[in-house]
Amino acid sequence: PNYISWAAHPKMYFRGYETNINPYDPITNPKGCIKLSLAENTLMRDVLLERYNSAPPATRADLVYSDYLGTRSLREVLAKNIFNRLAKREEAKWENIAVSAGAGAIVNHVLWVLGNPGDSVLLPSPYYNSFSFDIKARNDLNIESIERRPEDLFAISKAQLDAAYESAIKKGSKPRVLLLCSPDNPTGRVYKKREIATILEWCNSKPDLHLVSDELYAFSVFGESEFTSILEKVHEYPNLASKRTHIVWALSKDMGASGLRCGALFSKNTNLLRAMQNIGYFAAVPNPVQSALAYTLGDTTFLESYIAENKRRLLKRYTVLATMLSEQGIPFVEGEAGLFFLG
Amino acid sequence: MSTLMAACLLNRGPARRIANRGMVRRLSQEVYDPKIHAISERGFKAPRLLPQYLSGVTFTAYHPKNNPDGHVSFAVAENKMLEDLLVPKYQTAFNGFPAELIYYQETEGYPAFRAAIAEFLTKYVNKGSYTFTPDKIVAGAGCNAMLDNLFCCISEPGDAVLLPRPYYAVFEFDVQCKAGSTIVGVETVGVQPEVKGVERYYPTLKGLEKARDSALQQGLNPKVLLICQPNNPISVCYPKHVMELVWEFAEKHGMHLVSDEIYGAGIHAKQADFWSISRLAADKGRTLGDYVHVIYALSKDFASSGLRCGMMYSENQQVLKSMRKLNDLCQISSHTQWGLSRVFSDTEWIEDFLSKANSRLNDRFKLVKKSLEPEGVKVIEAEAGLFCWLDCRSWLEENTWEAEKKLYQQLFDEAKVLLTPGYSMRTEQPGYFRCCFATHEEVFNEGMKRLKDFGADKLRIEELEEESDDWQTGKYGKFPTTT
Repeated sequence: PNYISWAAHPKMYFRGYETNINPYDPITNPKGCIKLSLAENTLMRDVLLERYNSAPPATRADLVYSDYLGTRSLREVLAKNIFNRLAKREEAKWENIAVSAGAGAIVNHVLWVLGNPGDSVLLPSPYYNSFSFDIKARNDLNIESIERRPEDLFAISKAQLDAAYESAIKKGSKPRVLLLCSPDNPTGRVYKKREIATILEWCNSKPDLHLVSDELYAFSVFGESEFTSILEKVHEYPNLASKRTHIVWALSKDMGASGLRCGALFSKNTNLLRAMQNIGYFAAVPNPVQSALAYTLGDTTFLESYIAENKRRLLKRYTVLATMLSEQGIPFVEGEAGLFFLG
Repeated sequence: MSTLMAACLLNRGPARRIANRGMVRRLSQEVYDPKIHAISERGFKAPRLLPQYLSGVTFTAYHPKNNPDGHVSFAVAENKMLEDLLVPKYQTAFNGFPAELIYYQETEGYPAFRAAIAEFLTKYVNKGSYTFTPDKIVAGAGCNAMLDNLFCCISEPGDAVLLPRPYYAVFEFDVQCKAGSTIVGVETVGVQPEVKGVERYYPTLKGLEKARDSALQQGLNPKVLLICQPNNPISVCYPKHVMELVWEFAEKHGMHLVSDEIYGAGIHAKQADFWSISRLAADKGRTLGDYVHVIYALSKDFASSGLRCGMMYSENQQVLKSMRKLNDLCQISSHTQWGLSRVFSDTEWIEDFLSKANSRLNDRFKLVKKSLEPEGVKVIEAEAGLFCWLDCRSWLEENTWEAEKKLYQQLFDEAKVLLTPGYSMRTEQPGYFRCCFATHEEVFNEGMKRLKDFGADKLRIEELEEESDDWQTGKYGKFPTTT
């Protein structure tokens, strides 16, 4: 008998990598496999842990139920030190922030709130393969790819956005969300200012469309290009900004803390936030972890130096690999951000 | 007021604002308009699915020094009596978080944590009779997250979930919000009017069949039987024959059986005999099989609702596979799992902790009896958990739902005490309230004092005999519909 309902059938999931049974070790297993397929940042763990582990210990207040949008102190820190940093202005208040157990949980819940069953999510391809799961699990939503081409260096144009939009409609599905990963996974690209303007202009022209920008690698830009967050420019489009723009950030990549399971959403749409509070109850972050993270991210001096050092170490590591690939004559797309690039 | 809304609104520290009785947010009366709300219909409806009793009522919490005029809430099932034991232990256990755990862990939960939980559950929930193994456990962000995902796995939108009444009403939200199933309450008291005492709250074959038929009549497919025992709110352990009946019924009709045993290690009454479904399986010499799933969490027995740790145990490989994947969306922070695995592997500490915790709960329960019984309240003997069931019918002006609602309001306005009214737990007779007594000591004492004063002032109607329930004929007035 088949016990599993439509919402949870394993067939719909990306069949991810198998557990590595032959791991590399420099001494005991030099012929083993090295896993280069998982986007984790191990370069800064010493710096992060030193700060995280010096946070004040758990208190009795941590033991009890708290707000399912997250603790006030963490939301304040995220608004002030993360989202306002992305915006490069005073854009975010603590009331605009929702905290949940990882970026995947946030994306999954935001799309559940924004999309009616059968709606489509427009997603630039190639895309991070687990997006498929984050978008579809329990949500009954479709993915409509926005075809990006290597010959354009994976840039986005209005024509491509229109094509995806029309394609969804032709299939009888309403395009509800444009989901961006900016900086981009897997190309390692930073969207140029003119592309950001194109995207904002285009979203603004579609009154029923929401823009969700997953800016998980915002502080991992090591290349020459300057990173422009959606949040930096969206205020030029008031309607888009007030109800239809939502930014996701998490600790998994920029802070190399994927195990801690903590992601955040910025939005000004109060109905969305109310719904996120309501279903946030299904994916809350433990209070002691929220307190420790509020402490970790709460010091701007620490953050500045962390971000700068992270970029430095990423660039150094990237340069080693890029040089080696060039010497071997293996073509690749030059990366500027994140923990990976396309070979 | 639902316990969940109350929890969100409670101030734990000094009072920050004065409760404004005029500020009733009419959440449920807005009509959905995509142009205005700019979210989906299901996103709009979700907050309105959460069971409400009196919408938007706000208050500030009593504090002996900072807010002596505040309200005493006995409406949230939280245990605040164990901070002196837990805080120092957690502070030590969470200290020195190691580097390798800062990365992605197995989605179903850190192995050492699952192993520790498996051992713990085996020892305390079924007294070692049935061995739980870590490979069949999925640990995620709370019992509710486990239920949400489990129902996405085993049921479809339009299915019915049978649940004995009275029940913790937020179950309705847990199974409906994303999984789209509907709770169909199983009458207990109403189908056995000749039974007196706490036994009348046990599910019966008659009640289960009736609920199943009712679901079918409503066009719902009865897919799952959900039981919560030790029971919320009656605080009783179902005896072996009831568990046998429940399992037989589920098997006969090809239904999944979900046993929420969240209070399973919080048995504080000496005479109590807890029959976990796993214990019953062992007794019968059988395994749980593909249709039985057990839920547990650390929110109650371990007074750690803020840590968001729940778990599901199942032997169904398909369910496990899906639950593991879905858990990716509600994993527990690795730091928390690591710290807790250290706590649980200190088996001596666990033994001592549970013994002290249950002893304190039992003592506190006895105080409730001592305080309230002289005022005409019948206190049903609690066996487990953080609350007890109060028969306050002698305080009703008349034997109707309206009168219960009025009493709830009077308790809030005059006595400044919150008790969870029976109606909000879908009970079958008006006049019953749940009292969550595991608050801080000063709060408890103040609350009991206020209730005693309130009771002394109450003009009591004469003793109600244990009469049969004619609630179907509307004897108690119109049953309030959920707003």
